[in-house]
Order: sequence, then C-alpha cells, then structure tokens
Amino acid sequence: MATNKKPIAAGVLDWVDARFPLTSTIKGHLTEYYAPKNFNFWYFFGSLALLVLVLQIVTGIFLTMNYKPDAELAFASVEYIMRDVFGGNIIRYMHSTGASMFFVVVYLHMFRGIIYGSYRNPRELIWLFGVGIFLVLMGEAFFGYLLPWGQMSYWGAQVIVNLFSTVPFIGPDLSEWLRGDYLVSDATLNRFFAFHVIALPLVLLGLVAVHIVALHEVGSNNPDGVEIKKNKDKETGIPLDGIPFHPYYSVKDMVGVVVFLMVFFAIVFFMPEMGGYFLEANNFIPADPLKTPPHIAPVWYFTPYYSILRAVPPIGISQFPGVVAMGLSVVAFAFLPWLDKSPVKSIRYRGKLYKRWLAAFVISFVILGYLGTVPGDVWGQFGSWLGRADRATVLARICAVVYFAFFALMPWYTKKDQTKPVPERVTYK
Amino acid sequence: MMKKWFIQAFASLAMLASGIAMANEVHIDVKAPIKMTDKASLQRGAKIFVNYCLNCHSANYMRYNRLQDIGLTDKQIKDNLLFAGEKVGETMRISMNPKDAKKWFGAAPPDLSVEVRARGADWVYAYLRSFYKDDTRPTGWNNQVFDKVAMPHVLYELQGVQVLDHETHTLKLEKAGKLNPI
Repeated sequence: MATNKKPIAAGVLDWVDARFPLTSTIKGHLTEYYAPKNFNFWYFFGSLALLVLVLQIVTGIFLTMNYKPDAELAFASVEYIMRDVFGGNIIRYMHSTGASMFFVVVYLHMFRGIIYGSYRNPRELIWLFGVGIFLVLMGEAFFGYLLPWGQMSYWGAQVIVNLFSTVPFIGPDLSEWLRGDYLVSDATLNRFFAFHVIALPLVLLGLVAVHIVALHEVGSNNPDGVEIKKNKDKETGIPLDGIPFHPYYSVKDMVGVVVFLMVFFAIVFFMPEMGGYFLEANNFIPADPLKTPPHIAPVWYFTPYYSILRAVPPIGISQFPGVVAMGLSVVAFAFLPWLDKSPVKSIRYRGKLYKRWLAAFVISFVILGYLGTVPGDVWGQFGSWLGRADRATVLARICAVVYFAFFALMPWYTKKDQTKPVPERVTYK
Repeated sequence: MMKKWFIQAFASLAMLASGIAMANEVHIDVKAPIKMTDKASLQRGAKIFVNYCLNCHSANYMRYNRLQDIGLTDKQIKDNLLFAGEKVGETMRISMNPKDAKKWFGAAPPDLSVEVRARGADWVYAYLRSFYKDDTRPTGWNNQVFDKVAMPHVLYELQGVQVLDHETHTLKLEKAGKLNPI
C-alpha cells in the first residue's frame, strides 16, 4: 500500500513537533516574524551584537582552557596563550578586540533606539532589558579587564573598587568585602574570574533572551516610528508593511556580518592594540601593588562616565557626589521611555529643538569620552579660549551638565518641539 | 564616493591612534630604525640581547626556537646563542636570584619579554643610547631617558663613554666604543 509515503525528515519533524515547539518557534521568530520593510543601516547592530556575544563566548571558552586565575600565574598564562597555544594569539586578540567592538556595536544599537524612539510605548520593557544588558556588559568588561593581571588591570580595578569606599558610613567595609582583601589581590582575581566566566555571562544570556522575546512580542520599531501592526491585511492578518525576518532580514544581516568581520579581523590581524585604545601599553607590565602608574585610565568605552566622575567636585573630602553622578549617567538611559513626551517617535518627524539637544548630547558624550582617556593636565590646544590651566575640568563640567540636561529637560523640550506629521504607512524608497 | 568615505574614516582612526602616544613621561623624539625585513639586523639584535642583556634580564615567555622567525635554524641557535646547556625549546631564563638582584642593584631587573610592547621600541632605542657618566650614581652611570636608573651602561664597550653637557642638556662622546668611533 502506497498511502503512507511521507519523507523520513518530515516524519522526524512531526515527531519533534509533537514533543517540542520547534516549527512554531521557527515560524514565530524567523519565517513568520514580520518586521517593517524599511529597516536601514542602523538595524544591523542588533544582530551584530548577538554575533559578538557568540564570538566572545566561544573565544572565552578557549581562553579559559589555558588561562590561570592566580595572581602568581595569570600574567604568564596570558603570554603562554599568546606564544605557545596553537592559534592562541588570534583567540586572545579576538577576545580583546571583541570586548571593544561589543561596545562599539552596542553604543550604535542604543543610538538607533534613541533616534527612532524605539524605547517608546509599547517597547519600554525591551529598552529596560537592554539597559540591563548594557549594565551587565559593563560589569563583564570590568571583571574581565583584571584577568590579564597587568598594571592597568590591577590599578583600574583598584580605582573602581575604591569608588565603593566613598559610600558614606559603610564604604570602606563594602569595598573590602568586594575585594575579599585589603587591596586587590589573588582573592579578588579569583572572584572576578568567577564573575567574568560564569556569573555575568549567564545573566547576560538570560537578558538577551528576554530582550528578543519581548521584541518579538510587540514587533520591531522602524525608522518612521510607525506601528506596522495598525495596518494589517484584512484576510491574512499580516502587517502590510511587514516582511518575514527570514529570509529578508537574515540575508540583509549577513551583509552586515561580512562587512563587520572585515573590520573586526583587520583590527585583530593588523592593529590589535588599536593605538592603546583596545589594549593599553601599561598592561604589558605585570601588576605591581607597590608601583602606582602615573596615569590610570579606563578603556575607552568607560571614559565618558569616568570623565563625569572626575568632573564633579567633592563635597568636603567626600568624592561620593562624583560616584553618584557617574552611576546616574549610566542609569539615566533607563528613564528615557518616560522622559520623552513627544507625540512622534522617530527623529524624522521631530523638530529642530530635539535635534539640537541630541546633537549637544552626542558631542558632550564624545568630548567626555576623549577627556577620560587623557590625564587632566595633558590636554592640548583644544579649549584654550577658556584661558585657564584646568580647562579640561571646566570643559568636562560643561559637557557633564549638557549630558544630564539632555535627560532632565527632555520632558520639557520634547513637548515644546515643533513636530512634523507622521505618515500612516512606513516610507520606503 | 564610498571609497573616499572609507579612506577618510581610516585616516581619522589612524589620527586617533597616534594621539595616544603622548602619555609617556619623557618625550622621545628618535625613531628606532627597525626594518622587519632586514634579517641580518634582527639576528644581530638577538646576538646582542643574548650576550649583554640575558644575564640579568630574563625573557621568560620567549622560547629560543622562536628565533626561527628571524631566519635562524635550530642548529645556528644552539651553536651561537645557547651558552649554559639549555635546549632550543626552552624559554630565555636567567639564573640570577631576584632577591640577590634587588640587594645588588636596588631593583630586580624586569623580565623583558613584553617590554617593547609596554614602552615602545623608540623608548628602548633612546634609552639604550642615553647613558652618560655620572660619578654621583652608585654604578657610575646615569641615563637621560630614565633618570637615576639602577642599571649600569651595559653596552658601553660598544657605544663608548658619553658625558652630559649640563648647559645644552646634550650628550657628547668622550671615549670611543667598538661600534662608535669619535
């Protein structure tokens, strides 16, 4: 009898589907997940962030196979990876470059969210999960940076942990508890290793999962800030401006992946130190608790917040206000969904007022970032019109005020802004 | 148009990168004349390192047989660069005890495996050529790049003896060395 001529593969699929939502998951998240058809350049960075996350996890696994989390052995084990482990130098440079590129991609991804209003109703929770990812990523980068046990690793960790000692009353005990010792030591290295390789990656993966699940629940925003679910085909119920993620955006994202990998491996192969921005020269000197380097600077992705820390003057002898300001400068992003009162989402339909504030914010962010990489006194001709020796501090203060004003005054200037009419459907050329 | 944009992006990246170098305490204005293609020069460097530096300074992460990268065979490495019965697969270790070294020099000589990555080749080049005679120092030597350095002028027989002109702050060769005639 020839009635049951079903291919074996289809039979297997049926068997799995009866026990696990495989086909429905693929449909719901890929082949029948309808994304707006007008995605542009800015929409590469979400998938690229996912790619870098995978690269970091895979290279991290191989690094862990040879790295030794021991104050006596850590520095040597990194050099062992660089010289004696097969392909170790590539793996290590991929991991160190990946750390910086993660932040490049995430900053661009966040900027996309800001300019197109992707954090607005109904996507507030996606944004909050995203801010969570950003915070965990910062922790991940900070803990990981101690592991090579170079001078900058050591003193960078010392500075950051000491930030907690500025907390009134419990500060000194708190920082001692975090370090597990009176100074950064083997105990600190061991716990930072544990946080870096297992604790935070687990949290990160969980947050990424809920970030994507939440996104696919409400659907993607787009450069016009128009809800495509408002215009559905009456028969099929598919958004008229939507196209299935796979194959349309999986193919588009692959172009982004190829270009990204070209840049990524150009850095890995030819300039892994990136002129001291990705790998600091001082970190090739083994950690020495008795020798403080003359200039301690965090890696570039932390420098805007570090500048704010340095810019805020102490109250009495307490540096706590600076620490609070630095913390606020990072957490401020979480409040964006409720600070933005504009009737439109996308920058395309916003007025001049908002655009000027955004431009001022971006400029302040970049200047603060640059200021954080240089010592306060090494500060070239830029800003010499201020006519005083501490112009770096003055400039950092101005930028910090602009930075916070962007958030604090947002309810006011987004309401006052002259917006343009938003089209019914997405615009697509 | 796209091409121009790429070139500009890369040029500005390069400019960004060069801005970092200024964090050094002493301004170094010499460029180390390094040519990665000049095998003879690189091999001379290995010889000088093994003969002059590798008694006090280790290069604990560097294996002798990595000198194959600069065109030497294992046999050549064994015949010319191994003096204490090491094997070519071993790392460049020293027998001096760091505790003794600290007593003798005031500071244990650092491992040099990644010194150039930390300081830069230009710094090392300038430093090694900036020793001058200074009778107030315990070793009799001082250095313009690294003031009051603990290390004596190990290469003096090659460079000769320099003295510091205190008015112009320049170094003058007082006695010729093997590689440096007056």
